[in-house]
Amino acid sequence: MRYDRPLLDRLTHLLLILGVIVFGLPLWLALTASTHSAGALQSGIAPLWFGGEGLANYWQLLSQPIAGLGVSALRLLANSLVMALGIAIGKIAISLLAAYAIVFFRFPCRTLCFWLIFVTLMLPVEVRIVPTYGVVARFGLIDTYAGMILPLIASATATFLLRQSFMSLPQELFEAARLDGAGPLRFLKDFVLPLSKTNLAALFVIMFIYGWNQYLWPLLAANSPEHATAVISLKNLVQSTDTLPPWQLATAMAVMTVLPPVAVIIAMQRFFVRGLTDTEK
Amino acid sequence: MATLTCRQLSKTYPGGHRAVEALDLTLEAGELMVVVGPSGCGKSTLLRMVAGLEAISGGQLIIGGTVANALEPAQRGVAMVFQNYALYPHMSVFDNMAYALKLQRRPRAEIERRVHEAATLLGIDALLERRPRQLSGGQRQRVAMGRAIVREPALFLFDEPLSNLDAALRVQMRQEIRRLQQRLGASMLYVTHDQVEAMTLADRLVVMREGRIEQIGTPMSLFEAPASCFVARFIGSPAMNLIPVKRARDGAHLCAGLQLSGDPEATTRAATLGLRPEHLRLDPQGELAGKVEMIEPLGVDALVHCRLPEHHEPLTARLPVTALAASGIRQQGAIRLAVDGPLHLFDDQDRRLEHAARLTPLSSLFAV
Repeated sequence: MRYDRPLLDRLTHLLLILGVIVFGLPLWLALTASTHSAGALQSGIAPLWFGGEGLANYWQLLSQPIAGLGVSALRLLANSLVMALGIAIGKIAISLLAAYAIVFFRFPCRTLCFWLIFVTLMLPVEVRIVPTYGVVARFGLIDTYAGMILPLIASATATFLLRQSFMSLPQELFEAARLDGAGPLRFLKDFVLPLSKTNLAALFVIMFIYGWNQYLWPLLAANSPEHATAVISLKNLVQSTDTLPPWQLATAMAVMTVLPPVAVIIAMQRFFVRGLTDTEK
Repeated sequence: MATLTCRQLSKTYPGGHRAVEALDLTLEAGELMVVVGPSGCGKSTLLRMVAGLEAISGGQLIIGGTVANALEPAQRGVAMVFQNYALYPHMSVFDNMAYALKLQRRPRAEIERRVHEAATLLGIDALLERRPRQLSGGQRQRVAMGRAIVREPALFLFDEPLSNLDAALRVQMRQEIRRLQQRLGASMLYVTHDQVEAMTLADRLVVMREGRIEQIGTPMSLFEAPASCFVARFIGSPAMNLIPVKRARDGAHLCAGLQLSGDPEATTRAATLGLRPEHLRLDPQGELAGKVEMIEPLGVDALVHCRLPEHHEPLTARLPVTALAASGIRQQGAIRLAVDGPLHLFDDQDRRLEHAARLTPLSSLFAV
């Protein structure tokens, strides 16, 4: 639906611009602050333009261990990447198989299974954190990548979304493939995956960001600096007892923490567009 | 080319619905058998049981001499053409047709040869690199058939393959299927609800109703001697007129002011009289007198729907337009028709009665 009303157009644009400012300003401030020296930020007034210390600040974070943590930003970003990729891929793998089973197979209590999975939407990790911690600790997985990833890789949301997407595939496709001699795994590989690639890409973006932004669980499960994530390090950077926090470093770290999800979105967005124009469903 | 035999084949759904009941059927090698019936009569279930997409609840399914009840669909040597074609949207036409052969791990050269042969046969060899969405309806239909032909199956199954095409294309594809079947000498089981398609394609026609076979035979034998009112109504277009036979006190058998005379066996048991619209002609002395309700011109012929006294359903006659114009018959006017063909009689169980009876006007009874 398209209305030709110039006033309405201007109003909506004004609203959009306001929205961009509201969301963009903090990022802008972080970006500019990260290029000043520690002294320039002590006045408490946020500079609105770039300073001359940018390279030095970022280089310091990437090359030297961060005070209070003992590892460099590079390590933190790598840890975050491992966790986010692990969670995103794990979630997609598990919900792919779960949704495939629910949509394409007839087994007893199929609907019950689906609703049981669906109910876990109400049990995010924050709610079950104590028992989950107990289980992970008993398995000896505290302070390992596996311990950081495994408790988060079951996803009702992804299962539900994939189920909807699979249900939109015509049943005859499955039957035609069966007559052609394709077994269930072959059908998954040759039909379901290629036909849901845009959905999978969308899910990957969402789940990657979800994994990247995890705070509470890695805080508990990764208690050595070797496994700390970028998001956790932000807290360490702004926490200092006797001196002023190194704001130039904290903001630089924040900027670096924001970048990978942005990169994933940009990379996948291209894929979306291609997937959408190429779609044959 | 194989035979297909169903022995007491049954399908009962978990809810207790009996879709197919104790069905016996033999399809000879190289025969095109069309299964026809209204929706819900079990024809699609039968086809899907043969394909292996539906579990068999009872009886035996024999394809080419082997019991196929428990075989996987791919092992039965059948290929199916679906109503919506079920082409693989993300594969080219070539890959669509080659997929089954690839899964059979045939050599590359053989796959290419067989796909190209089938594509040439169907006239789609220029489309092999296209995706299904770039094809028209008729082309998709051909690809779907090509996918079946490439596999060189013992038996082809068609599930209402032409119902998504427009009328002109349907006629063309119908002829093409028939030509293809004769050329390949293939055994085909073809399901449709369209009786014209069924009549024109079939070597033998199976009419199904509520999970049972109502009648099997050549299209013309079903047209000429329908075994029941159901078949009579289903085969032939426009449908056969069915007029109830009333019994009067004196034992005479009357229907719409007419008397049924002759063969006493038939006249005492007949409950319904069937008249094909094609077997009525205009005749000022005709035994059927009625009032014209509507005239539907079809070109050469027109369908004339008239109402007979004491009969609630309209009687349809297929009359030449020229004769109609010459006689000056118009809507709401009177019309007299003579029966110019066989009378079909059915008993109170709607079963056909073989008879030698004829219609005489009731008035002639008093004239005697």
